[in-house]
Amino acid sequence: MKQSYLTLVLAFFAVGTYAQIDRSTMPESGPAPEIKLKDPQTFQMKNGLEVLVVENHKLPRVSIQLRIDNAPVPEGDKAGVSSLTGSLLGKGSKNISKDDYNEEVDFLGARINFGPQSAYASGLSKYFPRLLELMADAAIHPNFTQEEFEKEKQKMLTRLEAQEKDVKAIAGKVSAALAYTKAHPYGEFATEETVNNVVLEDVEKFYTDYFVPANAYLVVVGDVNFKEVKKLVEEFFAPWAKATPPTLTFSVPSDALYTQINFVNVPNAVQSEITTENLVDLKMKDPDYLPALLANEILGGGGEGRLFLNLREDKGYTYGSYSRLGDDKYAPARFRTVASVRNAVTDSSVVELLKEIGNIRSTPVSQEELENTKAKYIGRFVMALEDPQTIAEYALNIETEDLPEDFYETYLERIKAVSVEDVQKAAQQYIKPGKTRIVVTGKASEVLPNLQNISFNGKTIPIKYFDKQAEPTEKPEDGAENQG
Amino acid sequence: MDGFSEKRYIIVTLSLYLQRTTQYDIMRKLLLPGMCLILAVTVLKAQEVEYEEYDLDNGLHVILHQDETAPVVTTSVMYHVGGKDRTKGRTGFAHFFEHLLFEGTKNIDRGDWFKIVSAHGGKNNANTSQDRTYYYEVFPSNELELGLWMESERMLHPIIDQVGVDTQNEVVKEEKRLRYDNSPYGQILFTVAENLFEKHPYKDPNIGYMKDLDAATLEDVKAYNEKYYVPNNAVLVVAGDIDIPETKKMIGDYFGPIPKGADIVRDYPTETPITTQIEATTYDPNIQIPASIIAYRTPGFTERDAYVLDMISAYLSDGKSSKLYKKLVDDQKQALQVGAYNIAQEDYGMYLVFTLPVGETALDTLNTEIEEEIAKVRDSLISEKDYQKLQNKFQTRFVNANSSVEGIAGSLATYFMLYGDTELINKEIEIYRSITREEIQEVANKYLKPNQRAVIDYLPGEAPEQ
Repeated sequence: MKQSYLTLVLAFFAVGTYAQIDRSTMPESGPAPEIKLKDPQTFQMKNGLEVLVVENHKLPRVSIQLRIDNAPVPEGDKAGVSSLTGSLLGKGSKNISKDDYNEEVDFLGARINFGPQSAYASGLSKYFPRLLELMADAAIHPNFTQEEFEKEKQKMLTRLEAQEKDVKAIAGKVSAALAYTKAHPYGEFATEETVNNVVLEDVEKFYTDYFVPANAYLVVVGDVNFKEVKKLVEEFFAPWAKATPPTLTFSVPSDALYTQINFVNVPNAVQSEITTENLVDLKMKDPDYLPALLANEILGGGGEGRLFLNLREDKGYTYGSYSRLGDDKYAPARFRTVASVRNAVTDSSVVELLKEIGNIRSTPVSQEELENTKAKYIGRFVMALEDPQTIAEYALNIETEDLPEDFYETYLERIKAVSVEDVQKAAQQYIKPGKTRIVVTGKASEVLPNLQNISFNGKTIPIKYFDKQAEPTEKPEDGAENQG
Repeated sequence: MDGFSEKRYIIVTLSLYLQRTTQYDIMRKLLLPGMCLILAVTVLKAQEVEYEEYDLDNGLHVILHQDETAPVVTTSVMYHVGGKDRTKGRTGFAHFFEHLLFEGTKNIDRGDWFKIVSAHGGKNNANTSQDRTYYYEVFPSNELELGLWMESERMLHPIIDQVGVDTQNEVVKEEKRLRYDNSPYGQILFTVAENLFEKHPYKDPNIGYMKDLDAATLEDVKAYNEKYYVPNNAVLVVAGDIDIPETKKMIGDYFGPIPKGADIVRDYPTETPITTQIEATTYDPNIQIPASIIAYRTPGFTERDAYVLDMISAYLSDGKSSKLYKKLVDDQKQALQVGAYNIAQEDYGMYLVFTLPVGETALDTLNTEIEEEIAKVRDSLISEKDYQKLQNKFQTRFVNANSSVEGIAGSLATYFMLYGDTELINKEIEIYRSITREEIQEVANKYLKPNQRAVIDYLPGEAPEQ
């Protein structure tokens, strides 16, 4: 009774104060919210494993992430061995059968998944000790068997077959292979042949070589207590023997010598996948990292990027067009622009992409674009704080990317300090319109006739043809008619 | 950063039933001043989601949720309009509107919507199901007023003109190509819906037939807007780091003057029960491996039976020890992937079991194996242990469901608008807890019998010429 009386009074009060607002102008922002960054609690085990703990008691749950930060591994004629290793991990352990393991994880209402050099578990925090134990056990004492190996191999072959007509999957595979060559870990991919080359011993060796604690991080986030985590981790991960992965070398990829179209014929395509790409040597610790991110964001970061506004909102060629700028501490990353477009506008879309790539280098961005994009980064930073994983992720980046300790504390200041000139310089450094590879995956008979006539800086862009395995091939026959 | 993310090989995901955008339009400015607030409630125990809800005079329902974890606020509006709300020959309108309503308003120029959002550090999007459309922005908390202004502009006077209609028509066609026509297994939900429904609008794709969008006139489009995008057909949720009295005042200022629309009548045909197995074949040129689909028509999502079916899905295919996964993928190695999905919708649901064979396994073999497991659920009680496992799984889901403010905003809107009970955000778990083993068996017998199903062979290639 009393409660509703009060509410009513408040309601009337509210009615009385409605103001006449001017909706023709955008509301002013309130004072910027204060940002608090916390640090995770950490410790390191003797075997090298580093542990980061973020206590967060909002919900009664926990996540446990094991990440092994090794350099990329070339798999060569056994490409697929890492995937198979990931698939075979987590199938019980030397101490517990696969069926019992799966049954128990499900019974706890939890999840445990493994990658070739990673593991992830999540569940209710009341089950944390057992969950951690199950994860550690499967990670440290895997039970690789011939039977499971054959089964996973068969599944992998079926998955490869399933991708054969998948335009996006083909485009992704071929564009990486062309950028890096298939001799590079980032360019190679599994095929029926390479998967068939893998034997169980290769999986065991991959595991022994790379699933080691030297570069490993364990991140525990959730409704847990640091002291308890420390005690349990030290117990369950003690058997993980100290070891360092072998160091391998691989080729250094280089850019295309001149801008060219690399065409892959997929006759079932109703849209063409277009990727333009060039290599970039960019690491998070580089001084122009933030200006480079902003340049990329302005060009194609999202629904307000130039690519989206041009190719989608203005031309209606595509559902979305974006650009991506990678960073990598081990090897060159890629700068890419992408669009999935209907067959009939494939050539026009390539022209528009090249135009935008050229513009972001040649013309300074406007102050307004830059300010808007900074605001977007600032907002993203603020929003990320809701997720307790963010704290751990930042700490991990500082550690693994060799960043200054105050990288994130000064992040917003450094974003704010980026100038129009900085952005243009970064664009000129990382975007290379004269050495761009334009990978078009689509239906030759509908796309090629026009694609052959595109000119760039007054010259026709040469086209090279590749098959789905990224091998050079002849021009498809059904794409030849209509020429010129 | 590769190798960090867990690798999972899910070839097909069925979250596709939501169309998602990114986009805007009209009305006149007219106002009925004044509004009164009806009170509502706040409760809370540990981990419960606290909220407050009330109506404006124009019928707009408002839900507020305060959470000070981070200086962030979500403003969202759900309209009770989805793919099923259309007249004959005008499919796909709700999704088309999702795009159109980003084009601009009387006070927001065409093309500025996304720019304004990101220039203030925010993000936004929208999505459309067969039943409702959801628009939202997430901003740093000092931009709350901006979020309210934008959503109220969209509701009060979007600009709907030929330019916007023409542009978004093309964009939607590209979306359809991207998501369905050029995408392996992209036709699954279309073919299931087509086979399970004869009369109800659920038979047609949410994204619509392109010929219908082409045929739409500007007048059709404007009429649709006036009918459905009105405060009395909407719920506004504001969630995050907010000051409640201030927020209420702003909501009144921005949304109060929006005129109420006419009442909406939804009177969709009822389906006659399926009593004979339906057999169908669909072709997909983008695939190499065929798929088997077994589908059943089930009740709308507010029915208790729909919750039971959720549990049966989890029993059959959630987790490596689930019946179908363990048998088909793990033990017998016949399937690459198997999933039982309860696709919950307002009027009827679609329950489907989807399998991809490994190697030479025939689709018929898979279907027989699947029916064998479903028959067990019909013919006997699931074990005590499996029952407890299900309860534990749903407990975990419940804890995870309310883990982000953005997610809580969406759930509050959904529970109010589609389930008619906002409090389900805290109480839904009790429904699952109260479901018994006997009920699971009963519901399996009610909906999952062989003569009630559609068996669809989903094959690679082009459909043969008739």
